[in-house]
Amino acid sequence: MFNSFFLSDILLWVYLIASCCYIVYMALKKDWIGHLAFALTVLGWLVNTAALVVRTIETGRAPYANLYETMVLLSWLVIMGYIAIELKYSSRLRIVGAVIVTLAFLAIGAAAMLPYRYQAIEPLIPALQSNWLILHVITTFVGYAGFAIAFGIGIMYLLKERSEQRGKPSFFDRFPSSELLDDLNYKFIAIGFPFVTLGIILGAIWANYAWGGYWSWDPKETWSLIVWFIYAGYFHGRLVRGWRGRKTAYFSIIGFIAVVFLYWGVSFVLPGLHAYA
Amino acid sequence: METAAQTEVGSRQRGVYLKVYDFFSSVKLAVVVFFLLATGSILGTVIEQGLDPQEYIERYGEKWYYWINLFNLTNLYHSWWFTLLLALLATNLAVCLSKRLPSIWRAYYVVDCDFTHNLVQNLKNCTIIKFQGNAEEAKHKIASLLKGHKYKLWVENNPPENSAEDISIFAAKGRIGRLGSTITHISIFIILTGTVVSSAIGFRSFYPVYEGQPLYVPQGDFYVSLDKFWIDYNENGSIKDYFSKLSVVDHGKKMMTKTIQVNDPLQYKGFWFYQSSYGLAWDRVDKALIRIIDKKSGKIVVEEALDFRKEKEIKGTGLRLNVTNFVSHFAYDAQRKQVYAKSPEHENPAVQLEIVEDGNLIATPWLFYDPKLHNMFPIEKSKFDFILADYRSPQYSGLQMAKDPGVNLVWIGSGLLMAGLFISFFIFHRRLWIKIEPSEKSALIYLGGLTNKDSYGFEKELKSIVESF
Ligand code: HEM
Repeated sequence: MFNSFFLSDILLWVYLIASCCYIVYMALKKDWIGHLAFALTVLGWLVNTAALVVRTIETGRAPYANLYETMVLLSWLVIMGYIAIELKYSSRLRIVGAVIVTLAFLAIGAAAMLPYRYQAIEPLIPALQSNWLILHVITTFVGYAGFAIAFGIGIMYLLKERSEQRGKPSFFDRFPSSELLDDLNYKFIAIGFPFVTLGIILGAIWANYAWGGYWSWDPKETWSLIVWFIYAGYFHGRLVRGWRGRKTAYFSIIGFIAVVFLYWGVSFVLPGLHAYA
Repeated sequence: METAAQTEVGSRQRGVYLKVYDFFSSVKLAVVVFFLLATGSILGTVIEQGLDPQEYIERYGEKWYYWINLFNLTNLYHSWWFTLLLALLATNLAVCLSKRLPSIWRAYYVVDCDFTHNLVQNLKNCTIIKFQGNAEEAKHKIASLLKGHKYKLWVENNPPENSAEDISIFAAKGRIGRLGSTITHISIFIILTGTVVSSAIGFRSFYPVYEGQPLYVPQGDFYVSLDKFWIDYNENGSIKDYFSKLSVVDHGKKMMTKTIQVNDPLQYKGFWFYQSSYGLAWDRVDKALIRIIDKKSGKIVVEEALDFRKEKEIKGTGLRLNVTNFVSHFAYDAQRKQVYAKSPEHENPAVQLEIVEDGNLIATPWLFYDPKLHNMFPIEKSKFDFILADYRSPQYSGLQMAKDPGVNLVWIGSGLLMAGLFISFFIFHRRLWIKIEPSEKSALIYLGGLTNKDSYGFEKELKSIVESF
C-alpha cells in the first residue's frame, strides 16, 4: 500500500542506513563512504518530502495536526538544515550528519512507535481549524529544528573537545574544530530562537482569535516560555558574559531537553489545551 | 572638617547608589531572573493551578498545603513573588538600557576616518595588497568593489596624520544590527506593559445566549441577539463546526450581523464575541410535558405540553398549571433553602410546577424526570398526581465576551520583538578600515576590519574582496 505510513517506514530504513554510513565514515575516514552517506541523506530527505506530500493529499489539509505528522515534519526540517550546512560549508562539515541524521532517524522511529490514536487521520476539531495554526506550527517547528541541530552540534562539541585535549588520534578526528562547532551551535540557536519566539506570538494571536485570551498559562504555553527563558539565558551568557565552548554546549543540550519535554512530555504528562498535539 | 565629613557621607552615599545601580544593570541579574522565572513556571505546571483548597489538602496533606498557600502556588502566575520577578526583569531592563544606550549609540553612529596605519595593521585580519596603478585608481577600485558588497564609504584624502599622500577609507554596513538588542529590550517592556493593562482594565465573561433572547452588554450599552445557532457534522458523526448568527442592536438600530464560529469572532466597539461552546440550558425549558393522573382511578386524565412560565388552564379539571422553574441537576442548599443546578449536565432534571386548583394555589412541588423519583411528594390537597413525562430544553450558544485594550500593546511589542530579534541575529555590523599608500607606480593597500558577529562569514567576504584585486 503506497500511503504515508509505508513511506515513513521506508524513511526509517534510509535514515538508519545513512547514519550507519556516517559512523563507518568516521571510523574508516574514506571519502567515498562520506559521499554515500550524504547521498543517502538526500534520498531520505526526498522520501521525507514525499511522505509529507502524500499525507497532505490523504488528509486534505496541511500535515501538522498530530504528533506523528509533526515528527515527520520535524525530521524533514532538521535534515533540510543539515543539507543547508553542507551546501554552505561544502563537504567540510559533512560529518555533522553523523549526529543530525541519527536524530532524524530517532524522530521517525519515535513517530512510528506512537500509539495509533496519535497517528490516525481524524477530522480537525473546530478549535484547530485556523490558518493561524498552520503558521504557528510551521514556525514553531522550524525553531525546534534549529534547537535540535544545535543540540547535535553541542554533543559533537563535547566529544571533540575531549579528544582535542587528549591530543591523540581518535575516532572524532573528522569532526570540525571545536571553535567552528561552537560557532555553528550559536548560529543554529540564533535561527531557532526567533522562530520559536514567532511561534509563541502566532500561538498567542491564534488563542486570542479562538478563545478571546492571548495567554492562559496552560502547560504547553508555560513550557514554551520556560524554553524561551533558557535560550535567552544562553544569549546573554554568551554575548555579555563571554561564555563559550563547554558552557554553551551544555546550555544547548539542556535547552533541547526542555524542548523535548515541551513537545512530548507536556502532551503525555500534563493536562491542558494542547493535549491533542 | 565638617565639609570633609559631608563629602565622605556623600561619596559613601554615591557608593551605595552605584552599587544599587550596578546590581540592577547587571546581566548576571538578568540570567538569574531568567532562571528563577523558568523554575517558578515549572513549579506551576507540576502543581495543578486553580483547584479548591480541599483538593490540594487531599493531594498534598495539611502541612504542605500551608506552604502552597503561603507562596500562592495555587495561583502561581499571579502570585506576589512571580509578579515581583517580572517587575525585577522590567527594572533590570530599564536600568541596563539607560546605562548602555550611550555606548550603543556611539557604536551605531560613529564614523571613523581619522585613523593610523597602526590601527589597520593591528587588526587580526589585516591584509596588505599591492595594487598596480596609482592611488586614485586604487580608491575607485575599492569604492566600486565595496559598494558591490553593499558597504557605505567615507573617504578622506590627505588625512591630518603624517604623509600627506595617504588616503583613508572607512566603510561600514549593517550598523542597524547594533540596535537589534535595544529594540528587543524595548519590545519586552511594551509587552509587559500590555499584560499589566490587560489585567488592570481588560475583562472577559461567558454568556449562554438563546435564540430570541438578546444579551444586554452593560459595559457598552448595546444588545447582541442570537438569530440562529446550528451545528455541522462530519460523516462519522463527530462535530465539524458550530455557528451563531449574531446581530448587534445599538439604541434600537441594527448595526451589524455576522455568523461567528470558533476562530472567527465578531467585533463591535472594541468588544469581541467568541463562539466558545454550546449546550442545553440548565435553568429553563421550552416545553414540559406534564402527565395528570386521577388519584382514585389511577388513570391518565390528560398529558399537557406546557410552555415555560406561561400559565395554562387545563380543560375539564379545574386546574391552572405553570412551569416556573427548571434545574438540570437537582440539588438543595439547606442553608439558603434554595434549589439550584449542581452542574449544567442533565443528570437529574426537575421542574417546579405551580398548581392552582379551583382557584386556589395549592402547591408548588418539584417534579423529577427520573421515573424512580416520580411522585416523591404526592400532593395531598389535590385530586391528581403530577408527573414530568418529558421536557425539551433550548440550546444555548456559549459566547465568550472580551474587551482588552492591553492586547494592542502586546501585538505592537510582539512586532517590535520580532524586528529586534531579526536585526540582532541576522544583520551584522561590519566595519573596514583601509589605508592607501601611494608608491612609485603602484599603491599599497592596507585593509582590515571588524564585525560584531559572524566572523566566519566576514572572513569569507574579506577573502573574496582581497581576491578581486
Ligand atoms: C526577556 C527579556 C530579554 C530578552 C528577550 C532579551 C534579548 C536580547 C537579545 C536578543 C540580545 C541580542 C543577543 C545577540 O545579539 O546575540 C540581547 C542582548 C543584550 N541584553 Fe538582553 N534580553 C532580555 C533581557 C535583558 C535584561 C533584563 C538585561 C539586563 C541586564 C539584558 C541585557 C542585555 C545586554 C547588555 C545585551 C548586549 C547588548 C548589545 O551588545 O547589543 N537583557 N538581549
